[in-house]
Amino acid sequence: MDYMIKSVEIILDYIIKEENNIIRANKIEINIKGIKLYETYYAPRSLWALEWRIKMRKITFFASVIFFLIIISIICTGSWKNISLAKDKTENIDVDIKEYVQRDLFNKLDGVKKDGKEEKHEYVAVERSEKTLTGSATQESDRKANDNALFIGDSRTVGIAEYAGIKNADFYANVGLSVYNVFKEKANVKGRGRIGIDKMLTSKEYGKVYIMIGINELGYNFKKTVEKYEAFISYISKKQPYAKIIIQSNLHVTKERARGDKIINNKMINRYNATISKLANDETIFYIDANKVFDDKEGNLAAKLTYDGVHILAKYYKKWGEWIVKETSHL
Amino acid sequence: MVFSSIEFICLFMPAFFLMYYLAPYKYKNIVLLFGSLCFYAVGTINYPIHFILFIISLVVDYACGVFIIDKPKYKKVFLTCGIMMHMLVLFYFKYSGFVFGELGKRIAFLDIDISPVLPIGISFYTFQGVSYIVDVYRGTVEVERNILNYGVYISMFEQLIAGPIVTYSQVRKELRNRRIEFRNVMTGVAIFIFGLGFKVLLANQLGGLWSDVTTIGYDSISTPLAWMAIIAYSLQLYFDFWGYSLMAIGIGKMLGFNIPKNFDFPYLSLTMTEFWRRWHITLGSWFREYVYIPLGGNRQGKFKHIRNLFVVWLLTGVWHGAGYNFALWGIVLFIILLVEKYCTGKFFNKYPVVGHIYMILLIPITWTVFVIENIGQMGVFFSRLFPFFGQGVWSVFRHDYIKYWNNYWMFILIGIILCMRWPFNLLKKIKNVVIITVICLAILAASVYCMYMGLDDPFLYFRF
Repeated sequence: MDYMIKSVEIILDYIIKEENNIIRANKIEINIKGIKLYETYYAPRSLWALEWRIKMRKITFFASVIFFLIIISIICTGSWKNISLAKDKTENIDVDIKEYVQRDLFNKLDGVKKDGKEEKHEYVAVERSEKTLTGSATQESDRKANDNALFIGDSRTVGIAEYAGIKNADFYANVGLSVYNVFKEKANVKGRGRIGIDKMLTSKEYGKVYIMIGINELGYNFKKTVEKYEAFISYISKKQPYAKIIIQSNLHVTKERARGDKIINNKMINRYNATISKLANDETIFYIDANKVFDDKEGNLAAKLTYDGVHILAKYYKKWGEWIVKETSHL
Repeated sequence: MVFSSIEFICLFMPAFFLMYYLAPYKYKNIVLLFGSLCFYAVGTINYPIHFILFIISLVVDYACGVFIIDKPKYKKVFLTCGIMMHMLVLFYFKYSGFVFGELGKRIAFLDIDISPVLPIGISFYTFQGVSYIVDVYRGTVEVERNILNYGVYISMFEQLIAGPIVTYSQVRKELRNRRIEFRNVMTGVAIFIFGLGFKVLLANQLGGLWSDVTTIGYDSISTPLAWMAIIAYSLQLYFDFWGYSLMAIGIGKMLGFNIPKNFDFPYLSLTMTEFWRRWHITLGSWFREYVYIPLGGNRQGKFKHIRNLFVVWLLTGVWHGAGYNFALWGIVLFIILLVEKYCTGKFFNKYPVVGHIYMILLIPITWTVFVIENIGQMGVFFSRLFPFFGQGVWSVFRHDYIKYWNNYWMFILIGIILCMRWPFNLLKKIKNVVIITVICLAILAASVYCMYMGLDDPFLYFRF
């Protein structure tokens, strides 16, 4: 008798476990030694509910697979846009610097065609005499020196804004700012909220405008980047005709960071800096090179000044700020 | 291949699982072995020698196991050989660079410049191999005579790189005879998606705060920012590793295996002792089974107990990485655990509120020792956490903590909430399959989008 009860228990256990899996069964039988002990039928309604559950599960599974595939295809079609932009990014690194240095870079500014032989500073002087500010026009020599300074730049300028301790200056800086997105995106400016570069340049008169951008554009087509940079400089000089524009060289990266990187390395940065330094005319546009403060003997950013190889540690921004003020105090 | 990468989720997984589910049961192990070896080969594609090393290690383990049983007269020899081979290999790849570098600074002729590249997963599969050999020697498991099955056990791709350290006894039954059931597969998929979400949507985003703070430099952060950063790092480390373990468990379920749980809400612990029974559970039990108990555990007197604890925790610290800070971290944990065992006893268990406050302070502090490799920088960071020695609370950038709070507050709050049990209990109460499916798909879509946008971080524990 005990043996029979034990067997029944074992079989019942097994069946209860299997019940969860044998959804289609509508009959359960227990046989011991050929004697039918137990028999039951699932009522049709509960059987239907069970069948519906299976169907729902299968439908959910296939729907989710299809949904997933749709998402993936949307992402992939979205990526076609990037592939067309990538044409801008293709770059031949061995382009000779001289080609850009000797050209007259102002030929194509603002769609205004200029004679190829015209001197750069003459162009700017012509621009200036045509300009009149809203309000009273004053003689240039009568203008009081304007102490206001504006810094425009990318994440390193954000660092200057936060850690250099420069007073009396506005900062228009955003991580990732580049000549490709400076007109499209807005930045958070202290005291002014989120504004675009156009509002920034028209709302206040500045004596000096410092610019440091370039590292975020290294992956793009060099010619296009330089053209956009020139356009940006000219835009600033139009909006702030009495301000002195000070182009800052892009800071180097460390040797370790540049290793193996075909885009972000000091050869590319140097080429870019050399090109934009030619825009300086020492009257209204100037060029300063902070790399001599932070470089090591080999011309890379000194490794002990940085953690990630690109941004200097915050405690060195004060030194940078003091150097900038000193270098440009006579301007 | 990292689990949280597009190529794994959109290429490897569909291809592999298609083959796996289509294969008849008797070929599933072959498919799994082949897939896992492909997975590892792709991971070591730049260093083929690591792949060969892995195969050799696998074969040697299998051979040692078989010889221990077949030639019992020499079983101690084989045991020693197996363990020595593993430990020497591990030492060479992981520690020799650091050791010879440090020795070379002091003793001129030892200044050899070795810096071998660490093969991925070596810390994990080495420990698995050692656990198998010791288990066979002790007789606690039956030796695996089928090299295919043994290969599957070691190379199962979900736990090969950084997964839970699975012992042979935990998968032995499934290696021979497993059932793939639809419900288990779906549960596995759901667990995998949650793990992926934890890693990509939470841990990778939180990681930005710690790396921002390191880029700024510890000298220049304010105290609130320092605390915020180390709390963010604690959450990042937890969700990163927990996410990865969940992904391994999920894939295991999809394959028909039961991978053991690796995390059990460790941040809810009341004491450090409890914490280490809930954090990286498989590592803790490995050290207990194969180091602590063989040394005598706590059954051979107080002195030996303390010695055993010291050895185990020093080794645990150093297993995580080669550096002075890791050894220091191990020793700090040892001291804390010793104090808890012999001084405070059950105090924190009796007063849970005090226990929670104690752990909430202690956990970030111990992770500070873990994460900052340079001891000098560690000191600087501690002076920011506890600004009582002159530098003051604020930094040059007076409102830095506001800026970073604005960027990261959502992730920090979600992270803290998900440390607790109640969101998951709530989730378990939802019986409706459709809602669960929608939640899973939303997490999956968001994660895939994040990975696509290039926000892929190499898994934090890949140094091991």
